[in-house]
Amino acid sequence: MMLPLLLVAGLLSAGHGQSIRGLNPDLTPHYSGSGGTFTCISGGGKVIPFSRVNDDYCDCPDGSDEPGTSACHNGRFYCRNLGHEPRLLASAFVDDGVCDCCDGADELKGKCQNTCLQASAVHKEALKDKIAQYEQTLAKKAEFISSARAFKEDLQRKEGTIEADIAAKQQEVAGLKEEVARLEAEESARRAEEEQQRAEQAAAEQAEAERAAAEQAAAEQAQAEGGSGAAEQPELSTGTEGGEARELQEEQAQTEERESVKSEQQADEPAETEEHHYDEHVPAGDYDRGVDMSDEDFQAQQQEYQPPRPDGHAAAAGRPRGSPSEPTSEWEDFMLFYEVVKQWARTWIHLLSKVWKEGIRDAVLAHREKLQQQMAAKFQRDAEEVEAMRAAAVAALQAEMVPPARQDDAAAQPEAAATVPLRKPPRQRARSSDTATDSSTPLGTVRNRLYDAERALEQLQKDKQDIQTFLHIYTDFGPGDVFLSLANKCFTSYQTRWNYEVCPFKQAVQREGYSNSVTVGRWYGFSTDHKIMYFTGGDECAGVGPRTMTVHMECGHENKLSDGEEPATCQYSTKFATPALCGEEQLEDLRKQLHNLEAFEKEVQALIAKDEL
Amino acid sequence: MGRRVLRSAILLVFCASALAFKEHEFKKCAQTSFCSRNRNVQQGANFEIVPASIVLNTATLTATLINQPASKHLQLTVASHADGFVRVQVDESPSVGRYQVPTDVLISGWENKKQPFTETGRTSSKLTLATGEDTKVELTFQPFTLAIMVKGQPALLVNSRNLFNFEHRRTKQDNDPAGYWEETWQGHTDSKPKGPEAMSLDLVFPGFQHVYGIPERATALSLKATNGAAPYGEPYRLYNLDVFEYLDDHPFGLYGSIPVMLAHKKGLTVGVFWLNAAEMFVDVVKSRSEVGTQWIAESGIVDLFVFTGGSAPGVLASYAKVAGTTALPQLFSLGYHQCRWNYKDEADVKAVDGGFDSHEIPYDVLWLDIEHTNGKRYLTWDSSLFPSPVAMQEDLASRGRQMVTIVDPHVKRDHSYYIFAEAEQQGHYVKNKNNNDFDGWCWPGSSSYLDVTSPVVREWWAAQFTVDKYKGSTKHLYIWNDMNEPSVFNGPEITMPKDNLHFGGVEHRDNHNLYGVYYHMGTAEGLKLRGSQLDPENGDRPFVLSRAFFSGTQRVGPIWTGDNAAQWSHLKVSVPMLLTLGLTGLPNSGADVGGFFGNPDAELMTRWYQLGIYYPFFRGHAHLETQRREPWLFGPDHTARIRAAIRGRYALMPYIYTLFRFANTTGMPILRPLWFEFPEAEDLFAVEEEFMVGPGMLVKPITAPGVSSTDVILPAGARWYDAATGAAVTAKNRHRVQVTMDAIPVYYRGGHIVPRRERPRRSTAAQASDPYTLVVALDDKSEASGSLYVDDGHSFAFQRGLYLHRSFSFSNLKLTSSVHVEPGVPDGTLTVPTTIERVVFLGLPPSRRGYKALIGGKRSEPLEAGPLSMVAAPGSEHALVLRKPDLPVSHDWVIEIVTA
Repeated sequence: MMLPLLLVAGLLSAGHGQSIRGLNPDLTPHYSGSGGTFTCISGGGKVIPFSRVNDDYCDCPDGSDEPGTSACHNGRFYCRNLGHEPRLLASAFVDDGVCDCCDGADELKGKCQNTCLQASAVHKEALKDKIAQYEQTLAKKAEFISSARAFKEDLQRKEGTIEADIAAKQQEVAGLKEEVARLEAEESARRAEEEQQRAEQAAAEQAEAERAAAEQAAAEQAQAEGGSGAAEQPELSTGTEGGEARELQEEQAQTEERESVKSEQQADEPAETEEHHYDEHVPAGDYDRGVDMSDEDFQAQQQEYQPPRPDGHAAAAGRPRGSPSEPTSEWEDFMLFYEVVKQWARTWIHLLSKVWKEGIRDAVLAHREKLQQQMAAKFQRDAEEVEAMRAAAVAALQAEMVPPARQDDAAAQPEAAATVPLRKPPRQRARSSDTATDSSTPLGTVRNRLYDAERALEQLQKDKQDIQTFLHIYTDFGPGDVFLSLANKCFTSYQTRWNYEVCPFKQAVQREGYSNSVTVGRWYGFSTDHKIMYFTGGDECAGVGPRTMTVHMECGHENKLSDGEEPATCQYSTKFATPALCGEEQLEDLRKQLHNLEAFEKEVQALIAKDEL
Repeated sequence: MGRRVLRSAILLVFCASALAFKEHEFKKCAQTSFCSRNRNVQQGANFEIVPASIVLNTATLTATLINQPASKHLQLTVASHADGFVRVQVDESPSVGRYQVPTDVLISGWENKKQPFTETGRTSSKLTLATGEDTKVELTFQPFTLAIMVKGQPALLVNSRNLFNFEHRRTKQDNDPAGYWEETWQGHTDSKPKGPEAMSLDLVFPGFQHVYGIPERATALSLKATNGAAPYGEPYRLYNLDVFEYLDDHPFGLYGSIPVMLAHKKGLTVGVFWLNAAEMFVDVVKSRSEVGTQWIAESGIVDLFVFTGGSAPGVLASYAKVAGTTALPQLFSLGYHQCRWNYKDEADVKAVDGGFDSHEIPYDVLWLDIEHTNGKRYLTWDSSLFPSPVAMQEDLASRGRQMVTIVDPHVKRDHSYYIFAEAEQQGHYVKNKNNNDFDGWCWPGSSSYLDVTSPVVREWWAAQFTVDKYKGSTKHLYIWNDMNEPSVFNGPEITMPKDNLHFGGVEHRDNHNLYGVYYHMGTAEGLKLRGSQLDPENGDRPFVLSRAFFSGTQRVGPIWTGDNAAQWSHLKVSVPMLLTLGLTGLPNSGADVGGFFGNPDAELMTRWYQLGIYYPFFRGHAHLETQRREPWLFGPDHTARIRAAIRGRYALMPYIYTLFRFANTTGMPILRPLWFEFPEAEDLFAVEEEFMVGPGMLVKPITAPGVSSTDVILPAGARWYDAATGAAVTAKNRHRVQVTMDAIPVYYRGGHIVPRRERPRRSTAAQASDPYTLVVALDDKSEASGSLYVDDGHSFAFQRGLYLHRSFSFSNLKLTSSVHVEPGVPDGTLTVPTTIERVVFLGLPPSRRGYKALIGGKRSEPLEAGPLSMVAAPGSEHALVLRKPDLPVSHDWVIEIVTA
């Protein structure tokens, strides 16, 4: 900081330099005027009569003969700015009709008002605000680091036993599966027996009735229909029978699968959404749905959507997906499809006619505004939820750390624990007097145990993957792993035409309008100073190659993506402000500035008091 | 600004996406019915003059011209005008009401100033007339030809190759050739209710090798023949179009048209101007003995002005009598303009403005492109980005700076938009062929287009620019008219259908090339109106930049060469493009510094600034999808070079403003080809690699990367001085000079005095009271002359004589300041308190004892060796400098140089 030096120098020499306008007090010795000459300070030491100093003609190549006029293109005018910061002004700004110095010394007397004390007061207040904000920012950064540490420590703790835990759990699952299979076999044998009995009885009754009816109709019908009808009848009958049995089995299997999927979805919905998101590089669907997404739609979507968790992204790989939740007939399917098409067509016809009438920009702007509001609300909610989950996770971790004995119990892990209340009781179906998961039956009990064990196994596998991801694959999360807090988060910058979404450690996407979404890069890494995030190998750009995104980071009060440009074809850049890049030094610097300013104010006040005396 | 790739799927339904200049999107001669019917078709022998019909009425000859096979009568009129031209008109007889360009496109006052013809010979086959000092007209009857001779030399032959044609109006016949009554191009069908009505003019310049003019296109200064290899197998086209990503060496016509051509040879310059606003094609063929041209226009009449002044300045002066001279621009508009699509918001504006001051780079105007509006509704603001436009402009103005916003002629069809609703209600839009408001696509989507060919619409439009009407505007806000060709994204060749209808039932085909100048005029009238409301005494001169233009645009405001690219070839071609505009009466023009499309590297950017400071209109601009490129973004070394270049522009401001004064009073260009100043030097006739700024400076731009030395032509017959050092340089044709990145070669021409201001202020306004430096560059006779024009820089008060114009001349070792007298212009009555702080003499003969100056007969000061410019490198002390004569610039005085 050269500021305090200048200030002090300014104060000390104020008396001497006053006769030479615009003179920098540091340079006063050059302007003694001894011998009636002046020697240009640099550039060959040209000597001129002292009367040529500030005579509004430039004689010295370095401009030093004209500190107080605009004659030299390279001169510097010293604004004393008593009460505020002194300033060295370009000579070109002297006497140009614009007040540059707060004390107005750069213009003719009377042209400018002295605003130095106001400027200083404003400066001081701004400094104070800045310091307060900076303190908050650093607290946030500390939080990033501590939660990253907690997260990693948790993984490290698990790492030692994870293989053994998985093996144990796999064994348990296998055992339970066998148990289930055994009980199911018993169950189905029992049921088959019951069915058999029931069928035999029914067949006997039916055979009786048929025989009576057949005797009546046989004479006419046998002639009219020939043998086929008669041949068909038993076939149909057996078909129904066999079909029913198959259906029953399928039903059971489906129920199981459904339950399993259902629970999975409930437990892992955020991860599921994320996965969908990342795999297909489309947003949460809203851009694809046209303009008329109702609020209900949106809320429904909100319920489905939960924010990514630090450990969520690796969870879902290879899991079965997309089993239908209800069996539907082809007709129902068709009607559903028809409705979708109709809705879609209506939306587009509406949109096109609107656009035709009002022009595209309106529609785009309106839609963008709506989306922005929705996204903002969503992000707000996400942020809250993330905060809540993070708090819960930390609490759970802490709880876990107190009784270490519970470590072997996979179900006690925070996420797994959190899924338990979400599990719905198994659905009872009228057609099936099933005891599948009724815990009052042995099969039900075992199945529930199997389910729990499978959940726990999945969690362990996820942990394993997290360990792999966060402890071994991505090792660079910045100093103190401060950037780990950005994992599984996405940030959006809304620009005039395009929106940019950056998901650190994942990818970056550019969107325009309703449907255009382009992956502009996949995670590559940080620059060595951690001030740039690189995303490379995005979607191919004709004639250029894969798209890339460069994110320039700087210290900021909160995580925020801004700007969004395409400085060269298919090469994008955005800016990202984050507390993660803020440092103590800057805070110290601000504090020092404030301290200096306050000390200086006192000096000036004393000086002013003396002057007045 | 300009078109960009329209990515939206919806728009794609209506217009083809354009990724680069696509030749196939635009018509060639062979694909255009009227051009293919006439190009190289010898029908001229069918036209003959009926000798008995000839009537000579002092300065006007009329005769009947018969188209023999059709037996159609045409009226030929040849008139001699006192302002140095002969006007040749051909129309149908009797008139069928073919379109004639309205008189308000030109100026008035010349029509009745005629000069009598004297009949000097008449036979059964020809008639010879003489007029003025040196002009002869010779009419041959069968076939009809017309020859004009100037200074005893043939200057122009009409129909000597039998390529003349005139398609008369007719009724539709069943067996009419295709293209007579309908023509389809890429899905656009042009109904041609009037049928064929094209004309072909066969104009030969005998004994000439070089022709110039007919802008706008990115091509050579001396026009190449159009019977060459592709793309020069196509005629030059004059049809104002929004050409996306134009190529740098192509005969294709761009955004504006001036149907003016100059032919120059040793001893003679002749000019022609076909006053016609329809689509036109011009072929150029060259032989050893002549340059032949064929001009084919789709409709209108033959209305040919032949300028017989004999020299290029004479031709331009005569043209200026008809089409007007360059409007004297506001001084600020000659400063540097910083533009980008788009400065995003108020914070961005503040940061860029602050960047200029913190880097100590002068600039005058910050520009806002289309994104500043509320949904491309011009004259509105996007209130989220620009919530306080008035405060923003006032803030800029507090440092002497101005702002420009874009306003385009397409009006968003939105009934809640006041401009649209009012114009619709008052019927101010161009109509389609069914007489409904035309609806075309442009930036805002569905749009209508103001019918600015109507004076009523222009008046209404002008009224929209007063500060009470244009919300958020202040007197510091000026306007940029883009897309006024007009650009219609879903129209044929990105413009309006030719069967659209204008005021008075005129078809768009007839006045297409006028749309731009009329829109420009309406907008400029608006700013004039605003100025006169704010200050009835001294209202502002308007500043409106236009992309489209026509003859007469020079009276309205500057133009720029549209959407160029960040390529060395575009830097290079900007010189012949601007020289051509200067030769066709539109000198106030510039190219986007840096190139609109793409990203210039630091070297290209720096070289472009080093050239751009000599563009009459000097603006940096960039496409939305480019890197930021404010002058300080190319590293400290390049920032220093660009700073030095822009400061160099501001130092030259007194000279440039004075050149504009001459452009305003005499029609002289600012940038001039070398041959303009050295008309006898045949080897200069095609030189476009360097140029003159006014008569006194020569500039050699560097137009390739990695250049460390270059050949400079310094024409013989003059003395030259290196403008960086003041060192005398011998005139020769290939002067090899070393070049660094710091500067391009620039020379002062001996015999001229150039006024400068050396203090690198932040804007032109901040220079207002700075003292002057005079650079006196002596010729072989130790003489020099020049002048300095000063006025308030912004109002019309100069028209009332409130200006100062001083003449400086140096001879017999005396530098004299006196009133500059210009014939026909009232003397100035303004005095200013400014002084001369420095006089720099270049080329004084060496004197062992040195020189001293007797200033105003009172005191004596020694001349000291010193740098030519205060910003010159140390050690470059080749000049003799008079320090602080402190003579008032408004007064008469004499400085006498004597040996010490």
